[in-house]
Formats: sequence, C-alpha cells, structure tokens
Amino acid sequence: MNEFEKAERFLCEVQKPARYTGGEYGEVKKDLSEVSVRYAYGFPDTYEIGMSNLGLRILYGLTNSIEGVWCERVFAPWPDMEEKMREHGVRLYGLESGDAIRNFDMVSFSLAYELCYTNMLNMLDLAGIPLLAAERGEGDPIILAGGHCTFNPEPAADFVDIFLIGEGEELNREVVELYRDMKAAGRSRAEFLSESVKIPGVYVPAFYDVSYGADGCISAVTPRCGAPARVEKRIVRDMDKAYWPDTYPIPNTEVVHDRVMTEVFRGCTRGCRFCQAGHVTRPIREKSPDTVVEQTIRHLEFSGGEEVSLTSLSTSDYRGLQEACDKLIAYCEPRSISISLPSLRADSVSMALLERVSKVRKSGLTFAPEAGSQRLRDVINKNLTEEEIEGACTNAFASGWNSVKLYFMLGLPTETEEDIEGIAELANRLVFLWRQNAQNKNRGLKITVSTSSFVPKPGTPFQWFGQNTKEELEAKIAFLREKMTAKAVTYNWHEPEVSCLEGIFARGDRRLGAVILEAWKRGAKFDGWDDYFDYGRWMDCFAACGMDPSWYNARQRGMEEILPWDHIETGVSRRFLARGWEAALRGETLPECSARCGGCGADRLKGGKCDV
Amino acid sequence: MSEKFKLRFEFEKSGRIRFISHLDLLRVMQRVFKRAGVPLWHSEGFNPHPYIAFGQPLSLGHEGLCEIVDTALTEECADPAALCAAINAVAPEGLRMLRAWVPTRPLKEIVYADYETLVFDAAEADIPEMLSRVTGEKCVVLKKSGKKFVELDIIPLIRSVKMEPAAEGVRILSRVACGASKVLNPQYIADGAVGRQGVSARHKRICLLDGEENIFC
Ligand code: SF4
Repeated sequence: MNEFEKAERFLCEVQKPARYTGGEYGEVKKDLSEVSVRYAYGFPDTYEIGMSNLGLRILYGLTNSIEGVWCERVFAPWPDMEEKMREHGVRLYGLESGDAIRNFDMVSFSLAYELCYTNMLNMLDLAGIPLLAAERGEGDPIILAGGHCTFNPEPAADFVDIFLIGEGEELNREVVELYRDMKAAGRSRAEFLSESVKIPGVYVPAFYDVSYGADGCISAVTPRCGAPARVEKRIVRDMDKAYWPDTYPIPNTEVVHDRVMTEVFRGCTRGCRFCQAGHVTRPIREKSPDTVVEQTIRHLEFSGGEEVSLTSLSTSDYRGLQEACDKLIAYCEPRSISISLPSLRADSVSMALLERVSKVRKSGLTFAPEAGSQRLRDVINKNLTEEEIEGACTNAFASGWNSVKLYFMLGLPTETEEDIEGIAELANRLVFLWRQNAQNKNRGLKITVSTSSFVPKPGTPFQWFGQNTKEELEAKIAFLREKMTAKAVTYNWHEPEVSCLEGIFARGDRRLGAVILEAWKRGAKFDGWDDYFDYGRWMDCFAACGMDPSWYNARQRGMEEILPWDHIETGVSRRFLARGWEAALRGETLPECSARCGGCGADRLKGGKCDV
Repeated sequence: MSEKFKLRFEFEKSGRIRFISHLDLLRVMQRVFKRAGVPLWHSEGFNPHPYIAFGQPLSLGHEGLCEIVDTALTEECADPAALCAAINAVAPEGLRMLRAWVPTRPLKEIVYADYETLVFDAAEADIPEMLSRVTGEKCVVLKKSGKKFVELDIIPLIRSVKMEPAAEGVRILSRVACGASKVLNPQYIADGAVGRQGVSARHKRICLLDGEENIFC
C-alpha cells in the first residue's frame, strides 16, 4: 500500500480532499521502468495557491520533458490533513504516484516569499527527510530550492542542498540531467554536489564558509570545494525559444487562478526603487506577439479555459501589447473567452485597450501611487504623477466608473507626516473629481485606500535601509486613520507584524536558520496566513536563540558592509544600487529604461541590449 | 431562442476523482465538454449558461458506476458513441462517459439506488449483529445537518440490505431511497450497523433505479 492508499481511508474527513489526490487532466504519469530519477516539485503553500502559479506549469512540464525523469507535485497539506497524516503514519507523497517523496532522488521547493520557510521544514518533516542539509546523506533526496527568495538564500542555507539561482528553463534541466547521468554512472551524492557547482547558477551553501566580525557583520565569505566566489543568476536569453509546456495539470477543484496565463516579458523598465521583482528579473526580454498568441492559444485549447491573462510586471510597457491583443481578441471573442490584463498602467492607451478586451464591467479602477507625495514618489522612483492619476480618474468617472482602489506603502525611506497626509489628500481630491465629473451620482462612489508596510529587499537600492519598527509603523497607521475623514473613502491597512518578520528574513544571514528551526519546532507553519501567523511566538524564538531581530530589520547597513547575499549576482551591479540609494536621498528620479538605459548592468547577462 | 437537443449521458466517477465535490464535478464537466468541443446549448440573456443536470448528486468520496447527467446541445448528436469517446479523450482520470442517448423520462423518476459499501472497521464475525441492527424496527443514527447532528431513523429509507465478508472487512449491499423527496447516504447504514458514528467505509453507487426498481435510463 503506498502513502496515498493509506490516506484514502481518511480523506473524506479532511477539508477539500481533492487537493490531495492528483489525477487531474494533464497530470504526467510515467512507466517506472523508464524512470531513473524521481523528482518532486514542492510548493510550500496550499494546492490552491501552487496550482495558480505559472512557474509550476513551466517547470513541471520542463522537468517531465527530461528523459528518464518523472516529476510529481507536492504541496503543503492544510493542518487538518497534516494531523491525520501524522496520526495514521502517512508520509508526504507525490500527487501523481502516491509514493512517499522520502524515496525520491530530488525534492525542490519554490520559495516565493520569506514566510514559507517553516512550511518547507514542515513538508520535509512530514516526508521523513532530515531537515538539515548537514544531516542528510547517501540515500536521502537532494533538496533544491528556487524562486525569488533565493536572491538572498542565506536564511534557508541550513536546509537546502542546492539553490538554483535565477530562471529555471535551462538551469533546472542541466542540474537534473547531471544528476541523472551521475546516478547512472554510480557516483555518490557528495560527488554530485561537488560537480554541480560547475553549472552556472548553482549555489551549494555548504561549500561557503561565512565568518563574522566583532560587530556581528560578515567579515568574509570563503568558497570551498571548487565553488565559485560569486554565483551569477541564470536567465533565458531568447524568450521566443524558451521552453513552454504543451500541457499542464488542470485542477479538478477550485483554485485561486484557474485561467491560462502567458507571460509577455521578463524584467521591468520602470526601476521603482522599492521593488525587488523589478530589479532581480532584469534584463528586459520580450516575447514576440506571435509567440504570445501561439502559446496562449496552445493553452486555451488544451485546458478548455475561458479566461486568459497576459502577465508581466508592467504589461503596458510591453511593446507588442496592441498587436498581441488584436490577434487574441480575434481568437477569443467568437469563443467567449475573456482576456485580462493585470498590472496595466492607468494611461489612456491602456485604458482604451482595457475597454476593448474586457467585457466592460465598469466597476474597479486600480492605482498604486505607493507614496502620498510627489517628493516621496521621486524618492522611490515611482513614475506616476498626481496629474496622471487625476486625469485617468476624471476620464473614468465621466465614462461611468465609480470605484477606485489606491495602494500605498508606509515606512518608505525619508517619509514624513506630510507624505502620509498626502495619501488622505489624494483620496479627498478624487472624491471631489467624482462629484464634478460623474454622470450618474446615484450609484455613489467608493474609494478604497490600502496601505502595506515597506520591507527593504536585497537586490534593490533600498537594500541598506533600516526598516521602520513595528511601533513606528503602527503610529503611522494611526495617524493616517485620523486623516481619513471622507465618507466615500474606506481605509484598509495590513498589520505591520508580518512585514517586520519578512524584513528580518529578507535581509537575514544564515544564522537565522536556528530561529526558523526553533519556530518550526514550536509549531510555526503557514506564516503567510493570518490564522496561523503568530508574531509573539517568533519573537520568543529569537529570544530563545539569543538573537536580536531588530539588528536584522531596523538596522541601517553601512554602504561598505558585506551583505549576506553579496556573493549572489542578480546582474544588477551593487554600484548601480548604491547610486540609486544616493539619488533617492536627493529625491532624484531615474528615467525608465525605454527612455535611456540607466546602466544597471543586467544587459550583460543577455549579451546585448535590453528589449526596450 | 435556439433549438435545444437534449442528450443524456451515463458516466462513471471512480478512483481518485471520487474526492471532488458535486460542485467541482459540475465545473469539471463543463470544462471537459468545452475541451471536447461539444456544441453545448446556452441559455440566452446577460449571463448565458449551459444546461447541465445530474440525476442525483453523488456524495464526496463515493464512486458511481452509472451516474446520469443531462445536457442540451445546439444540434442533434449523430453519433453518441463517438461523442463519448471524444469526451473521454480529454477527461480527467476516473471520469468516463459510458453511453449517451436522447432522454425520454424525467430525472425525477429516480427513486432508489443500489450501493456497495466496504466497511473497514468490521469482520465476518460481526455480520449477524450488524445485520440485525439495520433490519430491526428502528435504527437511529446521528446525521450531520449543517454544523449540528440530528437523529435519523434509517429503517424507512432502506429497501433491502445484505452483508458478506470481504478481504478488507465487511461488504454491505444495499438498496436505499435516492430520490427527490427521500434520500439516504449509505454511510449511515455503515454507522447504524456498527453502532458508531463516522465508521471507516468506502462506497460505490452501482445503479440508479425507478419506483418499480428497474434501472433508470
Ligand atoms: S541594462 Fe539598462 S535597459 Fe536594461 S534593465 Fe538595466 S538599466 Fe534598464
């Protein structure tokens, strides 16, 4: 009896059991006699979230396209399922085969955000795999990790054998093929790890000795065993030639996003200084409109889906948007398939396009000014002016829209009370504009203002900035609440505790491994979920480990300090980031890449100019 | 309104897919029809939707060997067997169309269902006592209703019941109410027979029957 067969007995007693069965259309099954490497693609969050992830679709297909390799999926079981599994001694299993992943060759984790570390540990434990890389040996699976968190892999360094830095389409294939071939040649786990570091983009944290000075800062990072001094992220140079799957598993049960997703370009031309994604995904590489259309239709036909979304960090900046949309509308309209364009800027061209593609539901308009004053927006290099927002809203109100959502961050560098007040003022001005321009006032206006707390991230010009403390952020929220007086305006805020914790791990070093392990031992899991997040418990763990969390999040770093992630190269030079930090303090903006290359250095990875 | 050509399918829901809910099954069916290019008829109006109606919902976790689903097409189906094959080619594991035909009887004529239940927490020696519990005058079980449990006498809802030893426990073969007004989940027979709530069991619906206890089709 395999693990799934054992679990079948109690699956009816857990919530949404379809998450734990596999068996979807598009799932890949292989004949074990033709499989030499068993691989689990682990997603340290629920099935519903993981199955909505484009990365999973691509890497699942990619890994299964490698001869002799069978890639299965595994997600974090919800605590009710975990309890049953532990009670009945069921180990974490791959959804495709139902076999324990304990016996697989490789288990990878997609680390999308900092708060999923405890879920990774919990999944390893449920699988029966030793949590610490140092405790794993011959016969244990190789634990891999990729995703945005790996641009500072250090907090997870104790638990992961190999970090895959950057895009996976080529890197993952090379690593898995190397493993397959070395396994066939009878080579050991240790030999494979030593050999793997020859592949660019591979980071084996155990091969780096980190030493610390008296001030607690890193004094040196020394590679051993032939590992490179700096690991440069991998990218796909030509998006039109990059791997794109023909099929992918179509969930049988409801997930967050069930729609077809096609990425239109990678990187970002905007250079918002707070944004990690905008920096670490550079250089800018576009797909041709024909590729976008062909890939989209391929997935629409396969899935039978009724919605497609064209994704990127800023879809309005995609030069082929008009052409791709024209062609897609021709395909989608007669088939009642809707097209959605998230992350579209509120300029007039985009708005006109939006009207054409969506079956005009004039309900919500969304803006992310991020900061309440032009001064602070210049600091963060968010090129969205008051005039643009007001102009777009005036037009939108006049043509019948009646709800606006505004997103801001609190705790940005150099922020003052005026900047925060500016948030309320902007909301009030929109109320005024609506009164002046709305055709039909009976339906009323709804403006929603949401604030989150800024978390300084590695690989950005703000990577040195001392994050606001929980108390400072709470005071800022209280201040803004008082300023929000208009009836039509609703103010929502995220509690800062989550951001403070994120701030610790985002820029942490490998000494934090002890805290993550302690927190997991004390029951931390699903930290990204309100129901399970327990800030007090985390603070207790820091105390128990004798560590000061504020040293990690609230401390302003010296510009000369060796940062824990300095040996991981995103392609954007540290010099460019430092210049950005200084320019930010002077309130100077940087033109976007399409106007002038800012010289971030990422184009070197591409071996040519960016697609701007 | 465009002309509507009703079509009834008999299908199987077995194996891992038995863990999807009735609502999920409805979504999966729509997706499968779409992938197979079935010319589904849609209602008119602002939010057009296809016509899909199931004989009797199958509880989550139960397998069904001859489930019924009605739908409507925009044209007559010339080759029902080919249509079933086209659908099966794009269906998830465990969902299989067995045949299709133009319906002549309304779904509300379904009155009974036959179930095969495998009770894991029981052995051959328990059979006489189990059988006596569910064939007596009265057998009260706790039935979940919303968040609460209510008492339910299952005897009036059981048409017939047999038990036999099986490799993994005891097999119960039952014919129970399964219509619009009265319906019995066979889990309650397992609970009633063992005398405990939430007995570990696996259920398979073998067929749907009309009021005369003939196979409904
Ligand atoms: S290399 Fe130049 S154009 Fe390319 S992302 Fe960097 S700044 Fe922008």
